[in-house]
Amino acid sequence: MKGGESLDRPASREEVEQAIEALSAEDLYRLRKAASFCLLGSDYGDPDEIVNEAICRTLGGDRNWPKSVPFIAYMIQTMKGLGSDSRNSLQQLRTKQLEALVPDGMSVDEVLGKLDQRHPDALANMIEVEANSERQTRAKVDAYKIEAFFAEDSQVTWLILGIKDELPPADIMDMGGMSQTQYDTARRRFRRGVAKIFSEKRPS
Amino acid sequence: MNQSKARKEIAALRDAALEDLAKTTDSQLRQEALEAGEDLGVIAAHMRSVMRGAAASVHRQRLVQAREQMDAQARAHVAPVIRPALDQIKQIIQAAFARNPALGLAYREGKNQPDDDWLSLYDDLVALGEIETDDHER
Repeated sequence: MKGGESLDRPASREEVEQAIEALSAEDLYRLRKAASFCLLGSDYGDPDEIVNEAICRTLGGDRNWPKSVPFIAYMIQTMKGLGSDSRNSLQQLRTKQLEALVPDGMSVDEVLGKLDQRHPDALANMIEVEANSERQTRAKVDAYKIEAFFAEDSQVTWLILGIKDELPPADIMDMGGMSQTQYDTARRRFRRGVAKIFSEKRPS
Repeated sequence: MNQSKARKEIAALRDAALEDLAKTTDSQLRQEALEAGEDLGVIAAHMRSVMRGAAASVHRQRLVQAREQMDAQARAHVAPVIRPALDQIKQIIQAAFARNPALGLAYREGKNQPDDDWLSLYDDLVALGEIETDDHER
């Protein structure tokens, strides 16, 4: 590296291309697994698609790879962001705000219906509600696929329940009657199982 | 279950898988690939090819955009006309009308026109080739 060159500067196109060529077989295999995980609840159809998008966004200038971060870590973080992106638009933020205001026993659609005459963004919000509803369905379907895959594995089932409830590892082990080793191997089975489920293209 | 909860849960499952992957060493990954009957080399080659393909598509898109921009600039480019003094312009234009009386039909015989009209007419006649800018001094 040249003297005085900042590690935090965004990488150039050539540097990104060099980084792609420099990835080891293990890095690329790891990237593939990570891409499978980033599909969970996302709008992307298969791991190739999200990897492709991450590279296009990087070379297109929408995302910058800071040279201080290893390329593979940057790629995984970017794919994770892409998978979550649809959850972060302004319209979705507004819809989430509406969701928080919805009284018990009413849906967001019903509330929007009542606001239609007064809320200038009602139509845009309704479109967003529909998109949100699709994403919610996808999230539920993906979670169901994972749960069904591990239906016969009680330790991983406890693990999934714990992760969903954001419980600390100690509580999950306690709940599932697992030792540290059993917990660690359950996590590994979980990770490998999820990679298997989402390694192929989603059925459209 | 509300919308946020379903998505929060799937994000937590994704993060847990990513976290465990980060803790897995390269040699463990190689072992897992073997156990799963996956050819790590083939998967790696495929991934590199996906990334190269993405990079190539960005370059192609850039080239197309650059070409379109150049074409648009070429179309918009009009050589600026360097005009002589206004009095000289009037004489030059009157001479042009004298040479080609048909021009007068389009310009009320060149009498009592505002200065701006003279200037723009001069530019138009230069563009039409009725006036050669080399013929007169500025």
